[in-house]
Amino acid sequence: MLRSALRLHRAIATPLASSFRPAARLHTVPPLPYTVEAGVSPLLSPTALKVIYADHLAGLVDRVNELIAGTQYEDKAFYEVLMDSARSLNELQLFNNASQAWNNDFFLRSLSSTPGKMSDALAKRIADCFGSVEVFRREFTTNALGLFGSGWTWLVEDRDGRLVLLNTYNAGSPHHRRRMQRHDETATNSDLVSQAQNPYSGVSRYSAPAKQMANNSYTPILCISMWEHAYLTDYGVTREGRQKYVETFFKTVDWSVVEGRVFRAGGF
Amino acid sequence: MTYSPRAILRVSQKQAPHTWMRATQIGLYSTGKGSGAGDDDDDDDDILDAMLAGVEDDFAVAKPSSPVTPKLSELSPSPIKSEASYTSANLDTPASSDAPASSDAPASSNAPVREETDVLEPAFTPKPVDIEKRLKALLPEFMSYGGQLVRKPKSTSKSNPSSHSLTIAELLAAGLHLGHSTCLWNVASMPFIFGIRDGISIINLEHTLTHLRRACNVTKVVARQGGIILFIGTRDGMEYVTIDAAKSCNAYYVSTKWCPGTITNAQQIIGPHTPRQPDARPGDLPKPFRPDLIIVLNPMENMNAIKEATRFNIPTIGITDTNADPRIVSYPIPGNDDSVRGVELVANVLAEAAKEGDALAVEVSKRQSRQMIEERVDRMKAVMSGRQ
Repeated sequence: MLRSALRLHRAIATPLASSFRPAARLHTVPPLPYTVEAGVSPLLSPTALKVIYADHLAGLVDRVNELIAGTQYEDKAFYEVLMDSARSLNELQLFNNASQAWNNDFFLRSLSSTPGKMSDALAKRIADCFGSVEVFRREFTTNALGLFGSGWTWLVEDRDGRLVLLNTYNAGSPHHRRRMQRHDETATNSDLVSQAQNPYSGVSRYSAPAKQMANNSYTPILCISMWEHAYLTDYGVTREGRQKYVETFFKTVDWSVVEGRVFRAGGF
Repeated sequence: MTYSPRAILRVSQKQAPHTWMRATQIGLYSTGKGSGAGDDDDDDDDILDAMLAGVEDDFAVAKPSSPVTPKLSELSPSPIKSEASYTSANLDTPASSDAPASSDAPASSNAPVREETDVLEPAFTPKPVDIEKRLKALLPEFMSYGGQLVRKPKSTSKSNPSSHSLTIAELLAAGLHLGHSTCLWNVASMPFIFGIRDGISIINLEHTLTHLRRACNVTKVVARQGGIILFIGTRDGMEYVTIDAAKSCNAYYVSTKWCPGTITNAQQIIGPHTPRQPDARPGDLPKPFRPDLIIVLNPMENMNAIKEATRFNIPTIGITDTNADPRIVSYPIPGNDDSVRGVELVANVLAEAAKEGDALAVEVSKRQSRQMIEERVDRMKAVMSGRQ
């Protein structure tokens, strides 16, 4: 009994003061290609962008710094922290904060006030996987509007190079198969196959398949934030407001950035 | 009497009680239309059928052909048009619905109206993606998202001394000359002892400096060849000394207990943590590597590590105090292993030497690639001039 108490004390003991250690470096919020005061027109006004970037994202990064202090995640790059905490079985709080920060940054840096147009190659690639770009827009919109709650709608690429849609709830991330948080417990049907029949759900036939193959994580290409704080300021929470938000998103996406992420297989 | 599945079951169970029958044959699970065929319990089934008559109507879901949100009229086609094109597409081009992947190009040229409908199958041929290449291409971008580590300001981090610029005064200041008490001395360390004072042996710092320079040369050469360097420092207050020294030169470290068998029994101890080789065939075990150089900061407490290294002909560098036999390691550095400042100085100097070796290796590889490019250019020029 005494021995186990001693062992526990040793495990949580802080390093001795005699060993000098230079302070570990902290993470900061990375800069955006546009200023916060300008906002991203037409999608986000300066107030909304301040809410997402200066308040929410900064708070997440601060929390990540707090959580990694003194652990093995110190001094590691942010993406490393994200993937390592995804793989560990315990670090849920750290993963949630890190994933939400990553997703937010990924989302904000895909936007631009002067977005680049979709190139023909990218349009062909999307048309190969969805049928046409219009179908892709419609399905993306349906998926995004069908996400009940807070989450993200992603366009991801799987191991075969196929572009599929993915809804992740809360802080789910497509990087790790166990952390995608895809399951909407408010759905009427529990399996994705019958959800796909229902156009009001967040799942369609262009969504990623329900059965997770081993080692199947996806490569994110594009995402939209369906967290309320993103669209509340400018669009409100009405049904029409959310629709307008997703519509405006398509006008604000910088397709040249998106094209840089899609894998250029032989025929691209 | 009809031989229903249930009758067969009763008979077969009497004859061979351990015969497995497919659950669908017995009729335990309904298989859709065929399950109710040929039952002799027709009464029960009639009642069930009556109860379940209108089930499909209750659970009707919205059909995908109707638009989801009427306000998105600019994005989706009008319902009538899509339905008409759906039916017309079905009637006109029955063949193209058979093989969607291959026939999409001719189908789209035949019926341009079809592009508006849901019936158009995406012509996607899955090509396996080279994951390594893909991740390598995307990783810089993905690493920049989320958060960025603040850069270390160069001025505040003290630069490590190199062995060429070290003076004996610095070694003295770090306390490397203080050996153990005279009653604990090891006879084999006599060549390195300067004398005795206050009951402890004083180590000759000239020998310390000489041996430290030799050890730095060894480290530099090993790093230049791309060898694996391992720092072992297991004392309580010296974890960060080991960790920082190792991390600064991309080396490995052991800062807590050295697990006996890490080298001799590598498959069991490191094997579970080792990834398999990229060209491994199924059934191949992962191959753990052995270090090419081991730097031990407290050899008296890590005799297991030193013995394992000796067994596998791995050169070792160690800070040997006056109570240690300097012959146990390949390149002893006579010095005080108790003082944290002293050990930190030695570890940093060795790490600096390893960094120099890395820089040399980079230079050499740059020179080699430049040579290769020049050779290729010369060859191309020769070909061009030959053609002319």
